[in-house]
Amino acid sequence: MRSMYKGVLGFGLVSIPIQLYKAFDEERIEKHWVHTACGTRVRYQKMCPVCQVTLSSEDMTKAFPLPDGRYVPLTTESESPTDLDHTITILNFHPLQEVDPAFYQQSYWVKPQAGGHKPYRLLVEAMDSVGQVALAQMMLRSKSQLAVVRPFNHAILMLHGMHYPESLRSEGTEITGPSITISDAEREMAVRLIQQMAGPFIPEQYPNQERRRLLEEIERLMPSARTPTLPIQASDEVMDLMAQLRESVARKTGRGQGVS
Amino acid sequence: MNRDPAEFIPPMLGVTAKAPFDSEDWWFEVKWDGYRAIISNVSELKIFSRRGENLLKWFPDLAPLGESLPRGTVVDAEVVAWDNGAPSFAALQSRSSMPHLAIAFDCLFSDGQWHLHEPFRRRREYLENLKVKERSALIVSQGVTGNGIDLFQAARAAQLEGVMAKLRSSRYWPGKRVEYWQKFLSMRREWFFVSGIAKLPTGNWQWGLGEEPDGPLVAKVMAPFDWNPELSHGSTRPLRVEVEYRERTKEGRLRHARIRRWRSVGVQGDHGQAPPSDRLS
Repeated sequence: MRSMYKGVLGFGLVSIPIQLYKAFDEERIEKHWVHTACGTRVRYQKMCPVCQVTLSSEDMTKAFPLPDGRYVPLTTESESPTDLDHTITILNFHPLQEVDPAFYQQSYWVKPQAGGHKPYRLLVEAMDSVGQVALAQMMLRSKSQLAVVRPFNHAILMLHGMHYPESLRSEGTEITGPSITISDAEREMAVRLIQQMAGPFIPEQYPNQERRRLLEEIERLMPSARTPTLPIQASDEVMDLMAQLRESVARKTGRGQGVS
Repeated sequence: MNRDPAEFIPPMLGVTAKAPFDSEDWWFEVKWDGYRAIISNVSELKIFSRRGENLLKWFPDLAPLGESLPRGTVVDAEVVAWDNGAPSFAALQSRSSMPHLAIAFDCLFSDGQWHLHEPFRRRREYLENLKVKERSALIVSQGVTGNGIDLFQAARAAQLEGVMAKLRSSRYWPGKRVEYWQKFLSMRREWFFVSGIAKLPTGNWQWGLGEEPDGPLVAKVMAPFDWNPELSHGSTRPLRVEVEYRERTKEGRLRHARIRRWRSVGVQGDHGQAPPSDRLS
């Protein structure tokens, strides 16, 4: 398991050195585009469609598009200056159920580093006892990010990256239909149906069927696996084969000079 | 001569020899099983099929030949698909992911001059003097003078298609089939039906071949890697296969049989997509 972030978790006057690890495996199965003719992985190039040239990173500038078609070029200084700041700063504490799941993004395990074990443990137990979770601010992959840090299994901390509440699109809250009347019987029936299907949440009940299907398909197609082929190797083999044939002719006739 | 070296020139064709022979007047080289190609690198790289179609469209991985072959050159060549140490016509036909190579055996234009009226031995010198990029997809054919029979036997032992014999004093005859070029063929070719399929413990498929869809077995061959019955939804049979083989046993079984190309009856355009009959024959 490889850590993807190293920093400190700032809790008041205490700084807890920690590392973050992805809590979930990649669900997507890795696939590459390869050139059908030779099996080589496709390389992407950035190109300018007007000047018809391929571009390297020093030829390009990031810019903000304006509605009228103009661009505002950004400088390297415009990008986050706090990129090197590896502090997860706890801002406030809130009850977990007040943070709507809509805000959650990816989850990470938080692992204490040398010197951090005691304050880490203290934070887990304290949050657990008062039923509150920490709302924190951090820089992750050059982007400022909100996060919830909370106890998991009463023993460790988990960090959930969060969307900024202001990014929530408002049109969703406006989805309402025409006014409808629901009878008590209908309401009771719906509740009964839910109760019939209700039960404890057992994560193992929900396997990723599509992922399994694709992995089986890859397994089945395994006999047709190809190594990307290199023309140089093939070229050498042709040369060797022609040389062998000429040698065998020269050996038979015993006069190498007939071979040119 | 007003021929434009950037345009297609129909290749010279040979006849099948009655029997392999030796002669100091003749040059002998391997006959590669692929698509005949006229490669012109004058204003830009062009690879013409035997009928003048654009082979670069079929084999875009040959585009680096523009760097391998010097500018201002036209050569006559065979494009082959190289699979596991041998040319594979089947791989060429199915345009599968094998490296493609061009083996040049004649130099028709260089140094601003056409060489069509010069004898083969002179054109051979032009070819050898070309500054071809080493270890690239363009290879200059190697051969011998005189010992046609020995070379044929060596080529046959290596399971190659055969040998081309070329009269060293002959000019180049564009588009003509003439006896100054002769073919020594090592393999027979015939079409068969796939009469049965079997999955081997390795996961690969094997075909049983017969003269008729339900006739007696004449050979078992490994199915092409790009053929998969589980993908073809059972609708593509019967399969027709062109097989190359050395000879038949007394019982009629094929010796040294291998698939040259194959076709699913009723599924036209699946593997019939290669350029039309482009063989040096």
